[in-house]
Amino acid sequence: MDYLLHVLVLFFLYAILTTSLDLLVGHSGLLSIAHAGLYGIGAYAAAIVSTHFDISFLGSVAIAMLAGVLVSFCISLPSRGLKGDYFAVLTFALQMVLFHLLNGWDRLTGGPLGISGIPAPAVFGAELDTLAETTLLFASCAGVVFALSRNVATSPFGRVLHALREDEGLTQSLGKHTYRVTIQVCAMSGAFAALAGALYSHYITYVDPTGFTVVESILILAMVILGGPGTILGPIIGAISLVSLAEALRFIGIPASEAASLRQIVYGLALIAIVFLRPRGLARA
Amino acid sequence: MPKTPTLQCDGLFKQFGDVRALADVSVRLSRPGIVAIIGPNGAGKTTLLNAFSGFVQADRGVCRLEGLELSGHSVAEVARLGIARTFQEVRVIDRLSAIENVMLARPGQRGESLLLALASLGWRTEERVNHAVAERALESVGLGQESNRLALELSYGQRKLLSLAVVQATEARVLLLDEPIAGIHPERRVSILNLLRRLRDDGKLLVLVEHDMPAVREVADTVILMDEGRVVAEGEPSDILQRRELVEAYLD
Repeated sequence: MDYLLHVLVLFFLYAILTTSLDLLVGHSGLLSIAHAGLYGIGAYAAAIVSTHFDISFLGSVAIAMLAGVLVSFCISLPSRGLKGDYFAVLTFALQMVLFHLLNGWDRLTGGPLGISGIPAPAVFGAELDTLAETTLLFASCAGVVFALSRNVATSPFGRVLHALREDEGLTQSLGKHTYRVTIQVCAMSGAFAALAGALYSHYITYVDPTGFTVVESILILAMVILGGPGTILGPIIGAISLVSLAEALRFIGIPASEAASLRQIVYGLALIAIVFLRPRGLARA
Repeated sequence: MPKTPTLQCDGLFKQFGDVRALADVSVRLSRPGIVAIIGPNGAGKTTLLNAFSGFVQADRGVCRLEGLELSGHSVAEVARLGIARTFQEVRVIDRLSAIENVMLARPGQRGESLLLALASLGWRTEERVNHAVAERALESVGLGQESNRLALELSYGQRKLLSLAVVQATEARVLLLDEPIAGIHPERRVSILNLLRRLRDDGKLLVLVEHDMPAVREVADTVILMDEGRVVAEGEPSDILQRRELVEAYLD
């Protein structure tokens, strides 16, 4: 039972990550490879403030989200005139910088050893001591992120994003604030990624840098592409599919040392299959 | 004191490499009116539209909208000041439906604010109004039946008509139209010419770049003939298009 709840927690965690990344990749046409970095910023911000400064769970989540907003705001500043491949390269570089910050700034982040002793989630003083309660917390957060992202994607703001992903010049010639909209959607996406990080920190009660590498960025991106970028449900379908696949691989009795590599190979094959069979993702006909 | 022209430029120069696209162009245009810019390929007609709409910054000279200098303003700022344009290569947003393309163009939408979008608040009524306006704009160009089709599913001519519906919806006072008639189905032609007249009668200034001389003769109040980046002649269409030396030199 606990195992199933843990898998559910992972579903919700990755649903937050994919939904927030899809705001950039699917809805805005900004291919970002820095999502794991932002996820890590949130995880570490929560870990640091809750272990060093004894800040409550809700406070630490809020600070983590603020950190996510700040970092993605900085990422989005050079987005003017940096479209397509260049944005991808820029975010790839930032992903590297963020990882090495987490891995190398020993005094603040504990370096490769990470930070342990992060308190479990507690809402208004009541600690969530059963896994079922924690699962509910993750589900609520994923629900809120999903609802807000859907609101944005189906609003006039979302329409400007959709126009922008195809033709920036035309969108500008209609008087739209293309730069402001880009910065805002990056900030929103970063806030949600950092929320996922903070939840993760408090759930596992320990963080180390290995969960926030470029490989993790690519995994989240793969989930989005698999499910169908720019669709409302696609990113969630993608998250459920790849989390399930990873868990399924545990049961076929492969030694742990080989399982990780096998997982990468299976992800790769699944993506190649999708590109051929359903080039616009599982969620789209 | 003479009236300030709606749109004007003075001493405009623009060089692309070895090509002199604009060489000392000065024009003064007032609304309401339909002005057709004609001339051979490479005369600088589209570059002039690009200079007015902020897509090209002139090397020298200034453009003004109702006396306000436009140089230094971004494309979006120029649009918000009241200049809308279409493109020769016909640009619409392929993966939005026809009606979404038109609704996108509506100015000053509250729902484009992130906070109101997040809260899904305060923009539904406005959206319904914009939907109704967009439907009327689509009907005015004969696309009433296509409103829910994606722009990429429309034919070339229909996309051109859609871009006309889009600029109408911006409520701009000045519309710069790059070849609005060429390539339009003959059956639609009359209604599009009527639409252009109606927009003028609503008080707008329409500046067309057009190769379809019969259409220019029918609809334009003023014709500006350009060649090699210069204004060669300016006047009423009946005058310019009657002058054999001009027609033979530039338009055949």
